Amino acid sequence: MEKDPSLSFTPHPLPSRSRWLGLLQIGLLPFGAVSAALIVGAFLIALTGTDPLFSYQKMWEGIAKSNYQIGLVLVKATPLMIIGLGLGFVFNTGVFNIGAEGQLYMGALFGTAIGIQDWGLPAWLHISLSLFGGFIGGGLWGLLPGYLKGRHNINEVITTILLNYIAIYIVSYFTHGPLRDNPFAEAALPQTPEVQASSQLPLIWPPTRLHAGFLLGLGLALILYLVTYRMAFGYKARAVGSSPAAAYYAGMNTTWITIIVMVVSGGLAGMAGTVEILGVQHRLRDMFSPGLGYSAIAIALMGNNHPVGIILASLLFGALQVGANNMQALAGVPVTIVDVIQATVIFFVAVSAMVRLYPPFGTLFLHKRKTNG
Amino acid sequence: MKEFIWLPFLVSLLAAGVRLATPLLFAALGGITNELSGVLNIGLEGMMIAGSFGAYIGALLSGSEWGGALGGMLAGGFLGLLFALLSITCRADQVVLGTGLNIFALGLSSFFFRSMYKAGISQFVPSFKLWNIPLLSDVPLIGEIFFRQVPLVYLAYILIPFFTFLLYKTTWGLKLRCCGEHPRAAETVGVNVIKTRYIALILSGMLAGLGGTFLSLGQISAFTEGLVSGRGFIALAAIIFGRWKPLNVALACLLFGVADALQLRLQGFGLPIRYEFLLMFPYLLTLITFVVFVNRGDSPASLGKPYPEK
Repeated sequence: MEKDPSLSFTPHPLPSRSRWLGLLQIGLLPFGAVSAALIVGAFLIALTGTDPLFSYQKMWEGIAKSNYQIGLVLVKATPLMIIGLGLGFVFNTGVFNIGAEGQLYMGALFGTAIGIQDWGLPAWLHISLSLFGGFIGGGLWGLLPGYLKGRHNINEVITTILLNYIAIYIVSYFTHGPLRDNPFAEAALPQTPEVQASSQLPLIWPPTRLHAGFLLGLGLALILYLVTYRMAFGYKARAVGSSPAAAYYAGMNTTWITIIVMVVSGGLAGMAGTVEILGVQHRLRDMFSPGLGYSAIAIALMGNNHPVGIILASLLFGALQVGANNMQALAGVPVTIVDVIQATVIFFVAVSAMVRLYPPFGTLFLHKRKTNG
Repeated sequence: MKEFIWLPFLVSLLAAGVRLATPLLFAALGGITNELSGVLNIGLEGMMIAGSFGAYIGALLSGSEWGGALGGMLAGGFLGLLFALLSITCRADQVVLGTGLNIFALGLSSFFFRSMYKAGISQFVPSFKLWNIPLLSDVPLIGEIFFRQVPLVYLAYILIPFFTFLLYKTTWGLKLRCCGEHPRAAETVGVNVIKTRYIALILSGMLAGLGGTFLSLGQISAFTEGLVSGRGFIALAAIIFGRWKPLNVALACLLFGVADALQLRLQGFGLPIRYEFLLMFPYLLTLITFVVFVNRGDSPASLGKPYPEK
């Protein structure tokens, strides 16, 4: 099949020259990206007439002032981590899934539909079933673009983004219609009933809000690390990302690999949506996600698609989110500054990924080279 | 039951379809230009968002809708320049960059908007008024559909033949398309690939910004978050559906515009279909046409590849 050049996306190259230099580069990258992003943020805050130092001070206080706040950081980091792990997995294969938002919604829908059932199950079983349902819901939403990409080489970027809008309307339908809590009440909100106590994730660090979903995220990170770096499938998936043609001629079934990684990544996003419902919100609400699926793209890129990097990046963004809420309350800086910071991180990582490909100076000025020189 | 009158319904449906297709068309014309030059611009959505906000600010500062249009084009053009700098000069991956650009525009516009109106009540700005074209607007049916619109719609009519000519009949257009097909060959015959792609991206940003302007000043005379909501991606699908030819792309935009107009009208009919499914309809239609038409294989050969290659 003819390959359309617009359909491939360059995943991060693995560090090549020396292991230590590679690790240094991987370590420096997030540091530089976040510093650059915070400087851009400070500039914007100053532009709106607020003192950036005062604002950042409020942000820091919001993160570190108590155990409760630290628990909140971990709570915010949890769905980002789980989605980010799936995205890192799929990005390694060179497939750019930006449909995590829709997969999150579909997963939350499936997970909640199971979570609200009064089946009298023990907690471990009810939680497992709900999480499994979330994985299936998100996985199905990843299966379609994965199949189209793997079998027919149809650009996953456009299909996944359109599926995001469709998923959000599907959830909107269910929260307004069939799953609505008490639809006859005068001012019923578009939300489902509360999930059963048996399907709520237990709190693991009272009195903070930290729930068992965080441990699930860490466990998933370990599993994905083993699959990606210690198993044949992970090796194949990364080979497809490095060079689809080489992988194909080496006899790898690139179609199946693409479909499987998309299903896993969608499934993890769906599981993250379920974790957010079972652990924090306890009800599925219309438009419940503030763009978690998009934030997780920045996290996967910043974490260099590596589980450890993704854990650290999600903790950082969880902290930014909690800090930004405090900053909005006390310094009047709109919380959407976090989106700008995330986008700046994406820019920085996208640029430095290319610079790292061609050390030491990148190709910033390559096009000025004279052809006769 | 009152008899349903088909003709006025169809006329008003098509007139609304033309209106809703216009922002898509501006963005799509920009997208055609940068894609033919070999740059894949997923950030069209972000450029539209920036345009809708820039237009709001422009209209607020100048007190005129035309000042708003200028603001929208400047904001979009600025993002085009940023995209060019990062994708062409710094060689960043275009798909990743485009996604970042969308988040950037969404975050930045809402950050500034919320900073301006902390109480949550925003100010209305001057918007485009209907211009009935003399004579033409009196033609039955056609006049009502095409010639009783806001001025930006007429600008869109003019831009369709203009871009067909510019991209397919001029030397500059030939050079631009050569950059998208085989940049090395273009460079060999003396075309400055880098410069051409920069111009294409800035032009594309300005046009997408004009599309955003239409959303904030052609339809509602205010800015709201979520005003663009995926129209940039629908425009991308329209480009592929229309095979990079401005007239065909315009017809594709019209199809999506009419689909949008249809779902808006059906919502008022009390049909036994839930409105969430009607709202979903334009995205679903876009997805289906995209999947059916995407792989015909006549996209610019070097689309999405940085240049020089190594």
